Amino acid sequence: MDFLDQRFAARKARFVRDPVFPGIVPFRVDRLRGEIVTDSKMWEKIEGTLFMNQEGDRILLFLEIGGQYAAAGLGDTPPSSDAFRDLEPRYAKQLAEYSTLLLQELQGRFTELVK
Amino acid sequence: MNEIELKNKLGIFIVVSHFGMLVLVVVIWLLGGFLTDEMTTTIAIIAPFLASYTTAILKYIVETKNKISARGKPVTTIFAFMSFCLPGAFTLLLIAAILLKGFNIGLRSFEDFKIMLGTTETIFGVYVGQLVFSLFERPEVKQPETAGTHHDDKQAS
Repeated sequence: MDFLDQRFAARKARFVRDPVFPGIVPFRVDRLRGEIVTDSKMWEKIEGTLFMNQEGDRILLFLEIGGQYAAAGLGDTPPSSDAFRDLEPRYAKQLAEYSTLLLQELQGRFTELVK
Repeated sequence: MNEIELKNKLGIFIVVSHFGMLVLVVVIWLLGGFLTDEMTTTIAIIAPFLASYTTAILKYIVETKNKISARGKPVTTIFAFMSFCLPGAFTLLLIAAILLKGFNIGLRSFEDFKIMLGTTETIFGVYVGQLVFSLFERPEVKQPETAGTHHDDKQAS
């Protein structure tokens, strides 16, 4: 999880994780800009859950992710939470691509750790 | 200042303010301050605020297009001052609201922004209307005919 913490800290975003059970990690990221819809500077929020399941010598990763967006604004102040709207269905494609990318990064990180 | 001079200056001020504000909304949308549907909603809210005044002013400009050396009655300083002060304050508040929403300062949600626009219109609309329509002819609004109107007319005659 330190990997995700560092990844989002580098983007000046706020990463909050809320472990419930071993192997299930719900997390939230806010203060993101243009992370999912990359051709814009819109404010974005992510809510997701990472499921880790060990099967023999393999660790299976499942990532469930959703998000919200709001207008970029002219300054560095994010809008209030009720200004955000769901990324889906409008940006469903970008969200799917982003979740794949994030999962690949996590798989890469886990592979490094196992080695 | 005479009435014709005041009408001309105030007319230009209100028309420029009206279209300037709409342009400002589009510019802020282009810079990312509004989402597309927020921009169209904002224009739909703001456009009618000054549209009735702009219509009356444009009608006056068209009707007096040949009156080059027209002279009007003198107006009091307080009337001339208030004629600019109230529409000016109205315009400034609307511009401030647009900029505050654009920068997410104070008005950080679109709902708050819409309430601010509505409140500004409620506060100033009546006063600005009273001043503007004392100088420019109020545009006529045609009432839709109802089925009962003709019947009542016949009864009356």
